[in-house]
Amino acid sequence: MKFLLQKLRDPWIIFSLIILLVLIYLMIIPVVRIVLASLTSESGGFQIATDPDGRISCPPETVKGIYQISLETEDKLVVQKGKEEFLTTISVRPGTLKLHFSCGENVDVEVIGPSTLKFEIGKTVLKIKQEVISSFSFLKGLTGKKEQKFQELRLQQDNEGNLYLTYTPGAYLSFKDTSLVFSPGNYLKFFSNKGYISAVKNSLIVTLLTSIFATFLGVTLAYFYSKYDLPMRGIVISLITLASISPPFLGAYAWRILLGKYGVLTRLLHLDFSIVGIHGVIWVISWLTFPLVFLITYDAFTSIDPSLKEVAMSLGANRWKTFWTVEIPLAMPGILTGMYMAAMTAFVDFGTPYILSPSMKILPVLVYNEFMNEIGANPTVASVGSVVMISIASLVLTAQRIYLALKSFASISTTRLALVQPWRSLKIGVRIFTLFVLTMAFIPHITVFITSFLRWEAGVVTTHFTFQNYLRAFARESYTIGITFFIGTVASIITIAVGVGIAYVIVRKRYKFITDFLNTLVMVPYIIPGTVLAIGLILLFNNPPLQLTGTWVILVIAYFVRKLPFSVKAAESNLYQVHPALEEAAMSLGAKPIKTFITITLRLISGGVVSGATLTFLQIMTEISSTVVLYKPPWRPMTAVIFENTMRAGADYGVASAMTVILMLMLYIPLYYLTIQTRQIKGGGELASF
Amino acid sequence: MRRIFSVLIIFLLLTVSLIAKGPSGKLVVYSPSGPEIIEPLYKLFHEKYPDIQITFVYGKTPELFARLRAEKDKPVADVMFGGAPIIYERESDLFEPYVHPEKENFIISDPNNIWQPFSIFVQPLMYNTNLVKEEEMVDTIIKLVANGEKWQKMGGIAIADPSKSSTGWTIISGIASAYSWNFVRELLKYATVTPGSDAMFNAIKDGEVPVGWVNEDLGIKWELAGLPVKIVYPKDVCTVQIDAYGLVKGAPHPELAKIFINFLGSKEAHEILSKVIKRRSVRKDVPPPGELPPLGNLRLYTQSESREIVVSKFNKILEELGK
Repeated sequence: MKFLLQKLRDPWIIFSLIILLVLIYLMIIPVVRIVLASLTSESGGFQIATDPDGRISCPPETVKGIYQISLETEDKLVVQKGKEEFLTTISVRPGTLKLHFSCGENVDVEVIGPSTLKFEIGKTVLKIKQEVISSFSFLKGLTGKKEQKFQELRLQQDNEGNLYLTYTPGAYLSFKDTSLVFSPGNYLKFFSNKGYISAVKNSLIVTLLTSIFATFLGVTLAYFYSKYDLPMRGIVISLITLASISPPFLGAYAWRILLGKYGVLTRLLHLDFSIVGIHGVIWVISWLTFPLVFLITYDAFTSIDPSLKEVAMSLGANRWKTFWTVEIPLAMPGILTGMYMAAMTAFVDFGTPYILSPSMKILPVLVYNEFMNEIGANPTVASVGSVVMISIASLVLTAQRIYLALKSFASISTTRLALVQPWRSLKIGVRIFTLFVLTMAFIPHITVFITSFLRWEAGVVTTHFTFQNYLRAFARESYTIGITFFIGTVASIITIAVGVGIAYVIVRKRYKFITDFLNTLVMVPYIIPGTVLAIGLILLFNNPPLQLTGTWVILVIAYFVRKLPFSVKAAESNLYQVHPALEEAAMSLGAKPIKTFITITLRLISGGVVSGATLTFLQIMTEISSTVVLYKPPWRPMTAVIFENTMRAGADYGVASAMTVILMLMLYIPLYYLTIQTRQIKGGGELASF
Repeated sequence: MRRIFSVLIIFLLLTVSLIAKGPSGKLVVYSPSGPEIIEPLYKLFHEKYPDIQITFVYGKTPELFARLRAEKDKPVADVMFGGAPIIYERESDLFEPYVHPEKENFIISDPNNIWQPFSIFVQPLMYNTNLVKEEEMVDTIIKLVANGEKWQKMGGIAIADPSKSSTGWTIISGIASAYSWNFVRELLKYATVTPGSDAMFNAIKDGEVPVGWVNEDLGIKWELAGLPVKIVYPKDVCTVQIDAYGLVKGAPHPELAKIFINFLGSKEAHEILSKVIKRRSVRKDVPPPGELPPLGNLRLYTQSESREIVVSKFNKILEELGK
């Protein structure tokens, strides 16, 4: 007891325990809810099609779940629930059905609307709706229509206790039982549907090819720029850092303007080509992700101990051999981490395929679409898709972890090799390659910038110069800019504050279990795609007492969970640079742990914390996959406005492009300032050390 | 450290003050209609009622209705604007009956006053003229399907997924009732299914597919704007839809919502509808847009089977075709 009390006097242990609980609640429970939802489905139901002459039938496609039709004639239907007979319906005359429930229990009826009733028969709750298709005709000559007098859907009982349902003749009567039943068969159904299978396949293809392509680009550039003293090295690195953060939808949207079948370039060059399709998705995501690979591998290459290479060379290995046997293996953990980050970004990317390939099936879009279709009902398909995504992501993460554990190198030397002077042809070659890569990476930015000053007519860009887009964007959406700032700021502050705390516990405190558990928990967001997390949060927070759906709080929670790993790693790498002796000195002079932390540690890492917070802020501003599921007006961030405006036919693309440019400014000014001020690349180190 | 904090606090205050005057007191309207319909109407509305601000939330019809259902106990929206009357009837418990003051002037109306009629629009075929030459364009659905392989080579016939689009539901159901579900199966062999009607319109306009269906108002506007599209009214089957609007039950701002609803039925609004938006008005006293053919010349069909049945049959065929 005394021991326990003493433990509790350490404020850090209390902090760790609270955070542990919060993280479990926000990260693990949503996933559990999704898994549960994937294992249940609604009990089902059936539809009765009536005709004006009083004939009834039950289209077999509409019979779902545990309900079955065991007998069907022109005027009689017998319905089974599970293995038991449940309901007999007999058509008495046009507009009236006699209902007989086999269980013999009383039927409670609640009238919900003129066309909706709710039945309670023992434990079964049935919702009955009539869909009247021919209740009116607004013009003569509408083929196949017969005007019907509208009749409310009502249940009546006669003296003998018989139940009669009156309806509009010709209507469709749907009977639905929304109670949930355990159904592990959902997975079987998912994997026997060709459409869903092809979504899984497409996702894997996109992930694999994108990561290979992005790795090739990123590693090649990183190698040359870490080794040779190339002209404009600083600018190139800064530019690639800028490219690592990109406004949502930008790439897909710009490439489509340029290379869609009716795109600007396609028309100009008379190409018979379209970027729309899986090839386009791979192409666009590759350019989005290669900067990540570059930043991480650049770090890896520059931290190789130069003496190892010298040893190899002095033993007679030529440059080529040294490259393959020393440099690449030593940089491999970094390269693979970069590749992993690229693969995961590609795997969960929602915006690019959503815009580039309307008919292509791919997991993040599938989960989003299915969830949007199932809102209010049990999201069965969406949750099965989510579980599939989480499983794939976990497998890839595990593989990456195992590899890193087996092949971990540490250099003890801190000397860095001086940059080598490149020879002429190399210089030219690298310059051309760099120019190509940077052009491709920034084409979307330039395209959107230009089109934001052009007039859009009926969804097509013209060549007339205008400021209208910006005026309209400000007139109509100025408060969304405020909202974006507000949500972004709140989320960043919370994320970085908690991140620093967790990092401190991980770096300094070696609590049994707690530290390890925290460390593992912080990794969890890596395997939960944004769309999936958002669905989990909706399932978790959709009911009182903690009903947060539709508020800004749920967006903040989502951003917090999504970006926590990043802020923890950023803080960790800063903390490692603070020698514990400084804290110990303060403690020995009588400062309490909290005071020590605030006056010594926090002060020493404040620069790093600010830059970490800025990066977190930037990442939050560009977050789309969870935003599009969670946002509801009036809490509509800029990303959501861009999303709405790029998706509609005849939409105001002008406003979308103006908003994108505004967002770009909001992102790149702080990022540029950060890169220039600190004279070092940001992001790579933090990402690589995860 | 202190400086950082003060900067942060100023920043927070700034953002709070920026949004403080924003959302409060705004009308929220859910609508599947594109800006080509909403913008001109809102412009007129804003001139008449400069103090009422409206936030339009865009989504596909089923998505928006699902959202209304999910928010039933705590509605966010005041007005639902768009979608077929049949959906309003089916989801009638989500709406507050309202007797529209202009009811007598509409050619149809809802006996239960759940929905108010707005416009009538036909779905003709739309070709991309960069891909299809004038002489290759066919004017019946039968011929369209007979030439299916030709379209398939160019990207397929675009058709909106009926589970995500009311227009898709109407088109599939109309064709199925004019011909048969077997004929729909033939059609789907050469089809590219798009997730929603907007994606279908865009795919034709952008030349991702050579042909598909379009709402006549958007099609004629694109054609007049000089885009490479041409609309053709098929002689054998043309589908027609009505769209409606309704007052959400428990709307946060019911009085403002009624002002907007009254506006949507007014003669002024319907004149904009006919002249600018190019949709056929439901008002008896507003003539249809001159650019569009009279309805009497077309063989018109509308939904003939419930959405659930159409969607189930459609998905079954797709699965059998391996699409």
